[in-house]
Amino acid sequence: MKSSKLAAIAVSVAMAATAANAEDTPNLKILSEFSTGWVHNFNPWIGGRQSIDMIYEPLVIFNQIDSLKPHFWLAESYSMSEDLKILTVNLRKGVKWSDGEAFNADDVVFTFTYPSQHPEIDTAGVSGKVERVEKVDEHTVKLHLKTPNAFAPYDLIGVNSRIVPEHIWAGVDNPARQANKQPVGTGPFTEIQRFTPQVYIQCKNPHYWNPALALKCVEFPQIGNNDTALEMMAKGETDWNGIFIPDVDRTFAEKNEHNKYWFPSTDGVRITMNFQTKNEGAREAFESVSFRRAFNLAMDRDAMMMIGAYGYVSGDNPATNLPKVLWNWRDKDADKLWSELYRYDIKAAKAELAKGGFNDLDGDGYVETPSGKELTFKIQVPSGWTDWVNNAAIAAEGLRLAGINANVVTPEAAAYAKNWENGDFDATFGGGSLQSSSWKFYDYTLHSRYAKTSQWWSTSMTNYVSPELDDYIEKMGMAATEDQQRLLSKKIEMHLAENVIQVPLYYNGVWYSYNDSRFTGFYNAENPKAHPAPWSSINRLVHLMDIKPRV
Amino acid sequence: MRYLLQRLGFYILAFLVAVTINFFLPRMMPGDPIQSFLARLAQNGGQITPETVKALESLYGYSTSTPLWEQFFTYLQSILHGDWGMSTRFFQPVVEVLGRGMLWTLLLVGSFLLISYTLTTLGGIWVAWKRGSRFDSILTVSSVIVSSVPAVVMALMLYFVFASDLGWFPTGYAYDPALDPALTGEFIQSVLYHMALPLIAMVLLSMGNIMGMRSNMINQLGEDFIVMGWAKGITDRKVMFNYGARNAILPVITAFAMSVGGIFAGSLIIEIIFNYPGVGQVMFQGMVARDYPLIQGYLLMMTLMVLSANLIADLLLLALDPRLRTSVL
Repeated sequence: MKSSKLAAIAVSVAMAATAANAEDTPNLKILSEFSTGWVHNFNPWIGGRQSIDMIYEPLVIFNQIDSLKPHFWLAESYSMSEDLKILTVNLRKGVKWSDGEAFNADDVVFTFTYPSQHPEIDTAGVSGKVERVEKVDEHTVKLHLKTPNAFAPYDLIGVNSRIVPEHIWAGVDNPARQANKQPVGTGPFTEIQRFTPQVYIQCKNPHYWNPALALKCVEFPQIGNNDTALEMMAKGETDWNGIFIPDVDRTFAEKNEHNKYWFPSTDGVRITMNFQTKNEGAREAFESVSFRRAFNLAMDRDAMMMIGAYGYVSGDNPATNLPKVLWNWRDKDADKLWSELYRYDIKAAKAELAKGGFNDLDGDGYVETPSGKELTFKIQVPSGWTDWVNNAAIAAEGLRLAGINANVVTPEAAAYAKNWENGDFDATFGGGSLQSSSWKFYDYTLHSRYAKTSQWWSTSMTNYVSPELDDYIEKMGMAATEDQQRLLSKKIEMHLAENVIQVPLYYNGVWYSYNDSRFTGFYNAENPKAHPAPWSSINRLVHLMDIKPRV
Repeated sequence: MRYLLQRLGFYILAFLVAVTINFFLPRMMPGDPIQSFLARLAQNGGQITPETVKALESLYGYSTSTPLWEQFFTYLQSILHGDWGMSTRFFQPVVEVLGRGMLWTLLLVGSFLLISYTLTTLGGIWVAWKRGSRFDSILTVSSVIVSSVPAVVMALMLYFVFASDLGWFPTGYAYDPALDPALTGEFIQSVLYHMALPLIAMVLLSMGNIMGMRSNMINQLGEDFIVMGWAKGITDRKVMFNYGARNAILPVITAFAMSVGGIFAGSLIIEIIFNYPGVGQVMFQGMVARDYPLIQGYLLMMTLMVLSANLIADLLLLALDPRLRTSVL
């Protein structure tokens, strides 16, 4: 009698303890978005908080660390037709919206057709890519594409395909103006527990489909700038951060044994020459292969990585500047050719210049063009982006050592971009861009239709027009098998390695850091499962499923 | 009366000129809202695709085809209707964006003006009365030194010593994020606690005004009617306040009105360093993002405030200075 009573008490105490523990699960504190004060807006297309990606989920998540491997999310599988015009998507069964309604093909059809009627919310460009959407049955959808393209899935059903509920948004006339304060989604955190300008908390979707989710709530404290953020991070007050940290070991890692960081590579940083610049001398120089080879040989990339980028980053960019996630598309032969140039050798640079007919005619220490014109040009870099400004200065210094009169100029970011539209610049220090697939990367950064546009990191950075390259890129988009695609990507890689169109330098880093005193499962160099940053629309949903509270 | 009408007319003219400048000046900055949006995206590691730009163009209704004059007249009309438009940076009506920041900035700036002018005026009166003494030298010189420290340095010093290292004051926010705004003792206490350090920084930086008041007072103390007051046997304190300070304060009122505009600019630095959610930070981001509706709304508000402050100062001077009254009315 006594023992069973004791047992009953023991059991109830244990239950109370676990219940208390369950209630005591702390909120996962995330620093990923700057703000002067949170605005209560969860619009899925524009103006909403970045954490809408935890409310509205995509069909597939392509891994941005591991060669774009698919993590099937709201879709179970997909396939392309042989003529590359029809993309069939099979949806996951048993998924519910956070208000209890069933998720099915109607919602997907709606998500892909609604933006066509409201171009201001069409940030995924669906209306230009999709001809019509066909509902085959409750869990199958066919997307009929306007132009056939082998890489369409990466572009259409990846992170940009945030599926919204048809039963909420059908008939809404002014989608861009909706604040959507109580959102309904399929995602892990749809319940807005608390929203103030200084902090907001999203809590678990009561009907969430993925059993791997072990967290209760995510919390977003307001941060206005890097210093405020660093203050909280160093003290270990936050769990998951995507903020740049200067001198990371001293200011962060050493402050707390649980403070850790990992900086994987993201897009490639490069200097590009404007092949259509109005600067006559520069234009003539840029058109000479020897000059372009000399330019690359004058770049002290190690200094740039160690000084401007604090030693956080790595290099080894191919001639096309493919981001690391797409390195499975690199070509061995192109890389061999390219390795002659991806190094720092002032003597070799000077030799190339001499070979190209560039000599110092007036004895001022800098060469003139082969036709005798004065050669001086400016490299533009956005003011305030200090690591880039420092590295642009290192680049200019290298060029001057080799005898090329180059200078750095720092316009404000908006003006810097405006210059591309008119081709009003000589050279630009800029990024390489991240696109949904290898084909889209080549298309965006090399195809002539992006020349002289204001598209960030596109062909407008080089204004290099080559019908041969255009042809390879277009054929690659139409190639149905990977072998055929690789035949063409090889041609593109070789064209860039032989012609030396640009000056790739090193890779930007993903500024990811975390504190694992309250949670475990964070990705790091030993466990590089997916893109680790807490930024929206990359891989953070995958990461969220692996983060568990410490018991 | 004619004087008043003249002043009013002047203010209306000033308002019109300001409104015109408020429209054209921001648009003279190179760049546009779309490029700023993309710059922010690029800097935060976001993916920029060709589709993004098209959607943005649609959203902002950004057309280079509408002539500037047409846009200007639409803007004038909207002012008369009280329609301040939609902020392109924060995706909220401009009134809401300015409103949430303005509350805190006014609280901070209002308290600052009150405390600062009270302290510097009283301080100035006291040191002028005690001029030549050691107390005078110490206070005057130290106040000038302290207020010459650049605002950034002062704010950072106070922040790092008292908030970051010693932890005596909070490192940011207007109130404890865990509390909900309500007129409870707990909330008010939290607001005061969070306001303390920024306020101290601003007040210290304004201590130079003691010198100003001091010189005004000394001017007055040289006048005959002060001697007359002593001769009549009136107490020192009464002479100091009723005879001296009353006249010396007039230039201070003018200075006060003129400083209203500049104060908002100065509080920007304080707000950024202490992560205080005032209108300064909001405006800085609005400028960088070329958020024309927001910038216009803010400049309009500032114009109205500065002109009103000047008008009030004018009326106050009229009321306080008999010399103006008799020559004018």
